[in-house]
Amino acid sequence: MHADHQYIEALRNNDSRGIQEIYHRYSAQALRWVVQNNGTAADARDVFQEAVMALYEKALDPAFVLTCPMGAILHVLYSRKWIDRLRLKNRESEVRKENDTRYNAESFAGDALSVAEEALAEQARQERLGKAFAAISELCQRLLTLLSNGVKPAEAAVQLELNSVDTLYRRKNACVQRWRAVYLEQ
Amino acid sequence: MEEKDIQLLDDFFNDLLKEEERQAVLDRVESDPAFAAEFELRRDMSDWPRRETARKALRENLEAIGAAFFDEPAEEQAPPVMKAQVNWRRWMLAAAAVMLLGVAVWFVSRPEPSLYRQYAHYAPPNFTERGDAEEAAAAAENAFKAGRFAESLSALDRLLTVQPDNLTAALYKGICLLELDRPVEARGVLEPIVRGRSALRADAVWYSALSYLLENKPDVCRNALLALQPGDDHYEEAQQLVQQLK
Repeated sequence: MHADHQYIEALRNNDSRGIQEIYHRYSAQALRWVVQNNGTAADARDVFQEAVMALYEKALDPAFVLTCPMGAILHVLYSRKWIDRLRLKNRESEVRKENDTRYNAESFAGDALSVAEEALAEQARQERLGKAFAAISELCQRLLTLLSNGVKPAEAAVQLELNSVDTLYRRKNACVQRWRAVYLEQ
Repeated sequence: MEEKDIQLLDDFFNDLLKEEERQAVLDRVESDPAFAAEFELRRDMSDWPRRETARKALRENLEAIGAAFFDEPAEEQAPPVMKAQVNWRRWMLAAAAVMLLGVAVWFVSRPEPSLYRQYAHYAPPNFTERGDAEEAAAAAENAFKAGRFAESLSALDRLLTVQPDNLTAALYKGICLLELDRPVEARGVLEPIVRGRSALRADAVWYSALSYLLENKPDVCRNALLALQPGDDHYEEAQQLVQQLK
């Protein structure tokens, strides 16, 4: 376990003190990198936050243990996020330039690179689930949110004005199948 | 996915199965990749609303904390406050400016090996040890601040006798040895920290690499510097030095 694993625990627990330390330690480097690559301080703030959120997705895996410096992972994450933004803005010449920077910068990374890629893949997967969730009915969203947050089925049935727990389960199963179908169609 | 399997997973995630039936599902996850993929998706779906609540809370926290860091130029940000040694680094930054004058004088009087002096800027230590080690810690700190490295080294040896696991003292012992032009001994002291995972590892890698400059071994120095990674302390200085050593 790397000493920086304490920051993974801070993310898991939404611990403000630990998160402030992450910013203290790594934000200046992110700011410099983004500004040096045609971004603004606001851009840097956004992509750094998205990088931390991506790492959070990886941190949600209880088996995940950090074995490399967190700064290296964050560097891969925010630099990729920024390159993707440039690409979306069709700033093609800058994208090409940043791709050069990207591969040069990542040549050192080793474990950090694989962890970052896993984090990005997991973040993309969760975002797809989120988009599909937003496409199902409001009742389905309320029902699934109640049950996911630990509300007992009988209580959820009352809150949703359903006749019985059996009805709740039937409705839930239908909601899950609809959600799944939308997710797989994306 | 067959209808019966969909029903089976519905019952599993609705917690409607008996224990042996649950275990049968988990066993099948281990042996049937297609079923395992579907199980993983259903598990993610089951967790997603709850995790989304936590995600929103984290995002709000990040937005609040981030506002204090990216609204000002990088140079003006506060230094890290995480651990005791970070205060040293605050000193290091301040001391770096003061050291410039000394560096200029040194360049005139002793041209080789100049790169070591150019990059070996550090701050006085700030030991806060108490008890039996207090006297040795204070003596080491005061002597180091005054540039009396032999005296500081002696005090650090006393401190390390009492506190053999004091990595901060070991790091500064290594620096004292470098200042006394004893690079081989310095590396011997720094090596355990270099191989460890403490917060001082990057400092130890940095000064261990600089020790090779004292021996006019730029290639070895450059290779040692490559152990520093983005996010590590001294990483950017190391990249500059690597360029100079090419």
